[in-house]
Amino acid sequence: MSVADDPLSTADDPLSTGPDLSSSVRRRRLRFVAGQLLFVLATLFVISLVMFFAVNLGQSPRDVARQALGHGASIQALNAYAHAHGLDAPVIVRYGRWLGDFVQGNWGVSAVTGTAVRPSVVPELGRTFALAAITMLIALPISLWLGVMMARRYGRRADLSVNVALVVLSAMPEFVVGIVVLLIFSVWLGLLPPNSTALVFGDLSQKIQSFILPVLTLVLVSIPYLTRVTRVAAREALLAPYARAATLRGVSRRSTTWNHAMRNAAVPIANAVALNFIYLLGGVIVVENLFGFPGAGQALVQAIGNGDVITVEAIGLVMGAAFVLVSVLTDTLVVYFNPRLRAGR
Amino acid sequence: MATHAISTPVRARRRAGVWRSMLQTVEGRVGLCLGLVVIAVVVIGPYVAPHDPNALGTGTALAGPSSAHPLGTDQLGRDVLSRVLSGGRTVLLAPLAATVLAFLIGGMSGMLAAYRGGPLDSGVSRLFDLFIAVPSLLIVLVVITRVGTSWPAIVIVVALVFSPRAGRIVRGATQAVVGNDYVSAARLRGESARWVVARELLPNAAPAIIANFCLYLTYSIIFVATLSFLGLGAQPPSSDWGLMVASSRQFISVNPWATLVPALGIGSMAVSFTLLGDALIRQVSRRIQVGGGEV
Amino acid sequence: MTAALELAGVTVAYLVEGGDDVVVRDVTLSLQRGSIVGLAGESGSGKSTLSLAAIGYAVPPMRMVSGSAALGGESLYAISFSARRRLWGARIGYVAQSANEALNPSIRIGRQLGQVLRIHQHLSGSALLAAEIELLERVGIPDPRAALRRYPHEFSGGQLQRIAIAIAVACRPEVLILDEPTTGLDVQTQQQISALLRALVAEDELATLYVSHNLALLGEISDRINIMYAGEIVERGPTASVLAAPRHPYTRALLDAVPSVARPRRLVGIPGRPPGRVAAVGCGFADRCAFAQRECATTAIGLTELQAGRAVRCRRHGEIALSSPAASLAHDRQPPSEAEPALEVRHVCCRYRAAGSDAVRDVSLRVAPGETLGLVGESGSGKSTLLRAIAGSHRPASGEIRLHGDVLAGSIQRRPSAAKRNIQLIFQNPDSSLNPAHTIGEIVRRPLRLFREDLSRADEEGEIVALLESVSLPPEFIDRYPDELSGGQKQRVAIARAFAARPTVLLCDEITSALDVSVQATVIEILSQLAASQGTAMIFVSHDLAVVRTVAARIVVLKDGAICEEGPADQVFERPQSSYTRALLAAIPVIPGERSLEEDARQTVS
Repeated sequence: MSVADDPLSTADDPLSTGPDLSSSVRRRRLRFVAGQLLFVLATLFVISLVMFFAVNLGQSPRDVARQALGHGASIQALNAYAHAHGLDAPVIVRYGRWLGDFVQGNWGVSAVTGTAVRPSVVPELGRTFALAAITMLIALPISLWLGVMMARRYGRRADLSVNVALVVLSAMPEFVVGIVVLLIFSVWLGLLPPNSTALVFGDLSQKIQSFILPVLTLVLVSIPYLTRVTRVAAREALLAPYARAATLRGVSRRSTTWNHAMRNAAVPIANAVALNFIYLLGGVIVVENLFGFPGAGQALVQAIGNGDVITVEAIGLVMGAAFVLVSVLTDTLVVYFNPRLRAGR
Repeated sequence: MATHAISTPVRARRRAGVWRSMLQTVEGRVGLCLGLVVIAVVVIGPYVAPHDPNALGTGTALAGPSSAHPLGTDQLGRDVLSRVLSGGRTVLLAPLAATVLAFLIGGMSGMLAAYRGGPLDSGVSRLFDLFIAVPSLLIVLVVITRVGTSWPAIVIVVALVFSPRAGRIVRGATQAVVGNDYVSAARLRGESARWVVARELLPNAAPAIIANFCLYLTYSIIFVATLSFLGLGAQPPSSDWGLMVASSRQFISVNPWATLVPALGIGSMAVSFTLLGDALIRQVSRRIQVGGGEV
Repeated sequence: MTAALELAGVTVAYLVEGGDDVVVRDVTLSLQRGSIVGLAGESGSGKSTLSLAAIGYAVPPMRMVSGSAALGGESLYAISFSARRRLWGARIGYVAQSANEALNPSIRIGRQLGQVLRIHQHLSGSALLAAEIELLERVGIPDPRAALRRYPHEFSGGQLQRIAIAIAVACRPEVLILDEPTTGLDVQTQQQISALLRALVAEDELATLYVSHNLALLGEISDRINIMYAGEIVERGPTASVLAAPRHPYTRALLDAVPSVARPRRLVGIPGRPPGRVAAVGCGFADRCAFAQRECATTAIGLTELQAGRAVRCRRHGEIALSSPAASLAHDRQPPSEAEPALEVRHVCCRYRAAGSDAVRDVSLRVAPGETLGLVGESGSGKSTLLRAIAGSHRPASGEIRLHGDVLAGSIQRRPSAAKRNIQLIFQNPDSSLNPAHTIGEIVRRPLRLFREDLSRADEEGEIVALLESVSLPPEFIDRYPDELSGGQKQRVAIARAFAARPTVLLCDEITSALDVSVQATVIEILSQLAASQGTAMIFVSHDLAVVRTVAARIVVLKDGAICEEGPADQVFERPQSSYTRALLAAIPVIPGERSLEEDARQTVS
């Protein structure tokens, strides 16, 4: 007798989902993406609000004008300047105008240097994004590999000692890690330049050298968090009954780890990568200032020091937006392609 | 009351449980020792400093270590050792105040959200997520320029930035507890909301909250030190360690100690709290596993 | 005939701080093709560890100490882990307890099923697809072609277990290991899976090891049975013979503790709790055994071979055979009293905001003072929701609930203090219902403080001790914390807390489903005695019909939120009116030798 002939076997509970399965999946995915989009917009809105109001609130139009015209300028001149630049309009109007201009690529003219902001800031932003991207490209594979290795040896001496090292490293501020790296490679070993100013005018090898210490520092501060999240997620997935079931079906260790376990660990790791992008924004600012790396982070701190409102706004908004976008995009992509989203998690 | 006689030692043993087992781990012990040393330096340091930390020209500028100046001098001829001994206070106190404030603001809203549940909870959680996704250093840098670099301002701004994170932690810790049947049992007995929060929720959520407090204290120390390093925290002539690192950075090849020692001071302060928090979290999660309280 | 899998002297330990913790000792076992060997034991008996050790799966902290396992004469322990990996899935199939955990949630069914065929049989392309479809058809999955493209979460629990079984038998193994394959499924699904397994074993001549805590289930499905306790096999033999005439005190006691759906029987619990490891010397059961003598705990006891393939590990096995099984339990079958019911539910409907249909539909029932009403139904039948509505934690959409004639408000806040006192609820999981931060004394004291105005504070201490005593817990427990107690002890504390309020109506929500049978019997015993002595009306909710039959005099069967049958227990169980109840009862395995009251009556007549 074939088992399927058993009358009871088809009397089992019917499939839980009917033919409208694919459309419900599509709807759930759509709702998820719409939610993420809304989230990005809300985040960008908050950033733009802070950028604008922190810089503009409590500062009278004349204060701004005085920066441009100098302290000797007359009241009339100040008023005229303020009016010409629309500084005397209501704050909401100015916010709208500023944001509108900004989106159209008109980032304004610095009142301190008197030059247009966009041409001077764009190359700096480019270097900063390159710094962040190279960091992630190096840190992520190392973290994934290290995290999985640790998860496989979870609780053993090798795992525990690496873990303590990571805990210690994770508690180090970026500038402390950077100082140590600088002392070792530049001051004591003399292998690399102590600062990255050669990035602008130097030749190719000098440019590459300029990247090494900042990237090394950022990789070192990114690895602990990414690795520890990977370790825990992989450990959980490797302990899950499905991983053992796969082993007991004869599936190889490599396939059990990377195919069965890591597929389920992907979502928490993606969340960590997304959050790490946000941390990286702070790290970039610190590291650029430490190494004199001519990027947007250094320009931002200089502009803050000079009270260069327009430049601060421009750099802050672009950097904030870019890092938030990349962060949310990472998260969205991974969750979107994870089948469990279809179960509504 | 024969039964009451044994109650006190039992309870004492119980209370000490998490802390004692935490101290049995290597990390816990190292964290505690390191923490005590750093706190000793911060508290006693200013009184044992051989020189006035701000006195100029106590020796040749940028001199290396000597018997008069064990860590050498900085670019203004100030004694580095004296500055290190007196410059730790702000590094610890401002972050401590900010973290406490953050856990008060965020913690209360997080606990309320988890306790009430429903739309309030999902609303508050989304709000937390939103503010966590905003790059904090960027925001604080810009805001500090506006409100100024006074310590109260820094404490409040940092507290505001950290409060959604603290809120999410407290909400999570509370929510892990609130789903338990003993909370339903208390509600069905007709207990007041105050009783439920104070007697049923808090005692069980507290270890996780305290452990995370330690970790966030670390982040806060890092954050405030970073502000000082960027010139937006402590202001000259303060001997704050973050500021010391920034101002001596240029001369690192001449007297590396003036940069390295304050940098490592910040590092060890942060590391000690991280180790403590990490050891605590491990104990907390182990207790949850053993107790089987969560299903 | 040689055995397909032969275990000899298998001893397994877990590596813990400070050495080995032996959890399985000296197990000898053989599996023949085409026959099912049952392995029965309570939690912590080592049965799952043994099922893994049997096929050579030992990963840290689990460690093989000694013994041998031979698959068709070839040693499993002598070869490397990766060599064993080549046997798993090919010559040895393994089915774990919960299929929705054993199947990877992120991988399509087709790939998971195809993986074993690709690895072991090197199939690919259309041959692979054909094999996959044939396998799913074999285990009765409708529309297999579409099923291959789905993810696990798109199937029901029963379907998933069928798929897991398909993967296990995909490469036509000689040996099949089943670790609680139907636990957690509804009884009717359980029965269907059992039928499928039986058919597969017969067709493929699989040498099968069936691990379960359910004696009745093993009684129906296995040919031979092994009873495991504290890491050792204490009794084995042909299933029918062992269960009908046990020779080990543990088997005997276990059978006395198992409730039967065939007849209401007084349950006798086993004192104490099962240990998690092997006893250093002597019999692991000695400290719970009614027959134990001093020598039992101090001398090593081997398996004694008896006649007809039976063996027992007991010094006094000769005397056990003479002891008589526990007496039948006659309910006080008092007619439903004419007096005012303690609790009355009238036309109650309950609804969840997210769900489309009602969770409880127009349910009416009444419970007389001192009466126990059994409320049964499968998962999703609405029984827990109804209980929560009565307790006041779920506001019914319509209908009314009356306590001693007074209509109760839907939400607990609006109920008077007397109502909060008079209705007490005992939860399913005592781990969750006792606050780990409070001592047992504090937990029991709280309802005294709130509801018992008759008690002065000075008298509370004595009352707590008395309450603990009434649930057979010693007074020193007053200063213990819940995590120092076993599951059964915790549930007894929960009972003491409920009775501290002196309720008139007690609601019990699956209160024994997290407990082992030997512990469950004790809890039920205590609960029934307390309710009877205090005249408390009780609503006892359970999915386990045998437990309900033991406890309740009157039964209400819920299906899809509505009452589908109601009546005195004997009537519902012996002469069920609805086809649903009949199907439900037919699906429940019965220990061989248990006869129903009806059959008893017939026997006496003839």
